Order: sequence, then C-alpha cells, then structure tokens
Amino acid sequence: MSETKLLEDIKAAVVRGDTPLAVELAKRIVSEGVDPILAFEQGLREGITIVGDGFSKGDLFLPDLAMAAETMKAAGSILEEEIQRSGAVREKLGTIVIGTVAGDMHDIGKTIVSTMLNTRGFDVIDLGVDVSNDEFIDAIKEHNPIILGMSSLLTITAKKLSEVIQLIDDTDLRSKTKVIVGGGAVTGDYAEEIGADGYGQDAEQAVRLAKKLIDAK
Amino acid sequence: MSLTGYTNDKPHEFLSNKEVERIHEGALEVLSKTGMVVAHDKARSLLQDAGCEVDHETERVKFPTDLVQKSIDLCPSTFEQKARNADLSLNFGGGTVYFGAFPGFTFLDLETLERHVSTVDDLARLVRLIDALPEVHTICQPTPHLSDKPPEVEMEWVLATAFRNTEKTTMGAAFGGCSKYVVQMCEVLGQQVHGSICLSSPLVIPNDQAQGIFDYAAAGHPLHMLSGPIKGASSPATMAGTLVMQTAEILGGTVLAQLVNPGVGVIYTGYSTVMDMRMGTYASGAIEVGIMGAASAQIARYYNIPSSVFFPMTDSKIPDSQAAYEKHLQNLLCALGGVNYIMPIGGLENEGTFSPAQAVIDNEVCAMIGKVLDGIKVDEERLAIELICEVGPVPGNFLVKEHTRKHWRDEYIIPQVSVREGYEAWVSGGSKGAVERAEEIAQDIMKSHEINKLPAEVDRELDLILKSAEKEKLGI
Repeated sequence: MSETKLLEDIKAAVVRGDTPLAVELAKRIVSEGVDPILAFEQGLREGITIVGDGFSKGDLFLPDLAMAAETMKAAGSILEEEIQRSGAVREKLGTIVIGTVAGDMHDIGKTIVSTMLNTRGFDVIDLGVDVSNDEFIDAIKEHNPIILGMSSLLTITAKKLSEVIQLIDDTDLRSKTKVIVGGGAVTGDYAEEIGADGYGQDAEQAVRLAKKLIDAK
Repeated sequence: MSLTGYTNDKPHEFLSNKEVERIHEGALEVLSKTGMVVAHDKARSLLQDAGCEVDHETERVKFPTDLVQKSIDLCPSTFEQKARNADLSLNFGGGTVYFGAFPGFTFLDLETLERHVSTVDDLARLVRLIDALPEVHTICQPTPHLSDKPPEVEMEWVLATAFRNTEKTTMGAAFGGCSKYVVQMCEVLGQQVHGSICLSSPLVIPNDQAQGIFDYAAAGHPLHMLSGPIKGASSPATMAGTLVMQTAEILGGTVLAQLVNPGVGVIYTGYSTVMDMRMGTYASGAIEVGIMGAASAQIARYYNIPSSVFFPMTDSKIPDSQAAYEKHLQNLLCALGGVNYIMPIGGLENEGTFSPAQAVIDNEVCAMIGKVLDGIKVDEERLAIELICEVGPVPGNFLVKEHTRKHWRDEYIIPQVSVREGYEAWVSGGSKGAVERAEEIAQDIMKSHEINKLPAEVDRELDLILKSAEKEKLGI
C-alpha cells in the first residue's frame, strides 16, 4: 500500500472512530517504514481535526467525538512508540493533566472535557476520578504539563482544588503549569478565590480556556 | 392523621409485564456478573459475609441473585415516615402520590433576579416559603449549599435549618458524613427523614453514601435509594438499557440496606437523565426523563416497594415557558405513571437554582395535576340529570342553583398565578404575567408566613449537635 493511501486510510479510520482498523493501519505504517511523525500529523491529527470541526458545526455529536478520540489514542500509542524508538521528537501543542479530585467519584463531565481537548490537538493525561492531591503533584512532575485541569462536582470535595493549588505553589511548579478548574461545585468566583488560572463551566469553555492560556504563554 | 396526598389507582404503564421482567433479569445479571464498586470497607465485609463475591483490592462486589431476591422480599411494600406533627406524617406506597420541593445549588433572588448561594438566613426564608405552599407534602432542602458555613458541615446546617423552619417531613442527605448527625437531630426532634442515598453511575456506592445507608437504616429511617445515570454517558443511550442499570444500582444499595436493618423501608428512586450530545451538557428537562420516571414506578410496583423520582427538572435558567413545559410534562407523566413521591416544586436549571417564583407556579400546577389524578367522580348527585331537566333551555342557567354553590369548589382550582381576567382589567392591573404574579406571591409569603417554632430546649439540642459536628470535622 502506498504511503499516501495509508495516511488517507488511517485518517478516515479516525474520522469514523474505527479503532481496530486504525490500529492495524498504524502497525502497517510502522512495518512499512512510513515516517511515524508524518503519519501522526497527516493521518491522526488531520482526522481528529475533521471530527472536531464537524462537532463545532453541529454535524457530528459527542459519541462521534468520543469514538474518534479513542481511535486516535489507540493508533497514536503505536506511532508514539515508534517515534520514541527512532529517537525523533514530535512537536506537541501541549500536554494537559486532568482528573476529578479526591473523594469525588464523578467521571463523565471530566471525561467529556478530556475528549474535547484531545480532539483539539492537546495531549491529555487523564488521571481518572478520586485522584489524591499527591497523585496530581506526581503527575505534574512526571508529565510536565502546560495545564492541570481539576474537577469537583461536590462542594465537600471542592476544597481539594485549593489544596492542590496550594501544593503546586509550595513546590514551585506553578511557573510551568497553569491550573484550570470546573465541575458542579465550582463557580468563576470560587476559581478566582482559590487562585486558579481559569474556570470553564462546560467542555467547550474548557477548550477555549486551554487554548487561551497556551497562546498567552 | 397523616397527609393523604393524591391517589392514582390506575397508573399508566409504558412497559409490558414481560418487559419489566427482562429489565429485572438484566439488573440481576449486571449485579452478579459485573457487580458494583463499594467504596466502604465495612460495607464490603458485610456483603462478603452475606455471600457476595468481594475483591477488596478493586473494591468490586458481585451480588448473587438469591441474595438480591431475598433483599427485595425483605423490603416493606408500604411504610410511614413520621413527622414531629403527626398530621404531616407520610405513608409511602400503594397508589399514593405526594409532591415535594426540589433543591438547587443556588437560589434566584427575588429582589435582584440574580443567582446566589444561600446563607443560613436565605435558606430559612426559602424553607418557610415551601412550608406555606399547600401542594408541598414533603421537602428536599431548597438549597443544599451555604455560603456562610464551611463545606464540611454545610449539610448538617442545611438540615438543621430545614427542621427549624418547617414541620413537614424532610429528605436527609448522606454527603460528607452528615448522616450520623442528621440521625441525632431526628432523635431529638422525634421525627424521621427519608435518607437520600446517591449512588454514583455507573455502578458505584460511594463511601459517604454507604455510610448513609448504615446510619439511616440502623436508626430505622426509610431510604431513598437513588440512581441517576445520564443516558448515553454514564448509562446506555437507550431508555431500556438505562432502566436496567438504574435498577441494578438501586438493588445493589437495597441489598446493603437490608443487611444493615432487615425490613427497613426502601424507596426505588429513579433519577435517570439525558445528556445533550451537541454540548455535553445535562439535558434534565428532556421528555425521556419523565417517561423513565413513569417506568420507574412500574418497576417499583413489580418489586412491591414505593417509588420516587428525583425530578421533574428543567434546563431553563429562569421561570419561563420552557421551565413550565419541561417540568410539568415530566410531572404529569410521573403522576399518571403512579410515582409515589414526585419532586416538582421550585427547581430551575436542573439542580442549579431554586426559584421562589417557580415554586409558587409549580405549587399551582401540582394542584392541577392533583385534579387530573382525582379524575371525574360520577354519581347521581354529580350527574345532575334532574337539575338539567329542571333548568331547561335558555334563559335557564345554573349559576343561581344551590347545586352549583354546593359543588363548584369540589372540582375547581382557584388559581393565584394564572391570568384569567379580561384584557382591560389585566392592563389596569399592571399587565402582569404569571411569573410576575408568582414573584409577588412568593415575596408576600416569605414576609408574612408564620411557622411553628421548635421549643427552645429542642433548638438548643440542635445547636449542640451542630457544635459536635463542627468539633469532629473542623476541630473547632
């Protein structure tokens, strides 16, 4: 299969959210010696951008977005592995670490935000729910993200947001990492009060906020 | 005498018996094959001793079918929730339909029309408003958050404020470990709450909610076993699949409740909603919510236990047409479906806002829906055949007849909110629409409504309980 055909096909697989096909194509891209960075940018990235644009226009919906993001993640990890093996470096728009704070098991809002960030070109490390303060700090040290996103649906757990921010300030990670917060228990005023860099009420706002913070850097 | 509420003896059913059975079988399969995460050590041990397969590492609990069935059989089909004023006690189950107030994170200030987080004083005023509204049979705290109390103890303060400002029965929450203190308050007050247990979808019993089951069930308070997946996000995109998951979660919680206190009252509480697939926002006012609510009542009847729904809701931000049609289509569906306890009063913006004006509007619509449930009474007196013959053709009329004066109130509502005057009279009265009228009524009630205050010594006891909660949680 030609290089162009492989790139076109993997792009189409991302758009359709066909994970098994995209994984198979990624493996062929690697075995046939196609440049993995090229495949990442012109295959996966272009595919996910089409889905993101379709979503913004109202032609595509969240299930399409979620499936495409899942496909990109699976095929992307195969290409990433090859990129690392070859010693090349892929330029990233930005890494974002995201999670729901300790004591809070609410997942879905945070997952939608992480999916939308994914489709807009960010590399998202999703730590899941009930993430302890230390886990957040360790993830920042490990992944060196431009942004940390935290969610709290419950007011009882909202104080964890400020605890983590305090820890980031104490460990001097704040100069490198901006903190954004959201979730049912959080308001714009509260975000400001606890010293967050931004607040998004929904996923669309979170993406806009992330882009704004990165542009400002 | 307890509150009778309304009655629905002929509920509308969306599902066939066979379909209900498949939902039940599906729930059993989910519970035995996949199970739930139970984030509470003692609860897991109790479940393990009762025969559940437990992995303490992953906190996963798988429920054997015979245990689930045994737990359902232990649930009473009807039970009382005791108010401190016996006239306001509730009897859950059977064909009874009660209406309740709904909570919001904030409230819509009538003066400024802005959203605010309540202070204790704001909440007290809101509780007094719903205390005054006759269609509110029982309450959920109008605002569960307080700006002037630390979040660790805000639920305790919310409940104490509710107890202090209404004699109507109240929902008790389990968030943040408040259940222990709510139980203590109830002992002092001599009343019961319905302990609201919020299961987390998909398939989790969170730590504080499991503790709530222990606290409320052990003290004999009935439990709202509440499952609230969002269709297409935290449950399947189909109503049938969502009902399977909702049922599985409620049954999982019910098993724990019956182990803690065999025979404790459990209310099957449907809270399944919908996600807007364009924005990822909550679509709480979607009509499917009402359909699933009616189906929840049907599933509960299959188990012979009372039902409730944690809605009607709307996604509208203000009291407007959207708020009215979303909330009350759901309300009507649930009432016709025979839900025993519906919560239509006061909520806006899903659980975002409590609006006093909306509460007054909802109160009026509940009276209308009550009339729907009352239906048409047919007897010789009401058929009035003799009267029709006697009055005869025009110029005969019925206004002058004793039969009219005797019966018109039986079947009429005198609306406070709805505009019925003629156009000229409406203009000279200030051209006020339903919302403006409702705002004025709410203002008046909040200024003038008198409540039966707690005896001073009981009030002091509540203070002591609040202090002990603050001491334990905040060290002050």
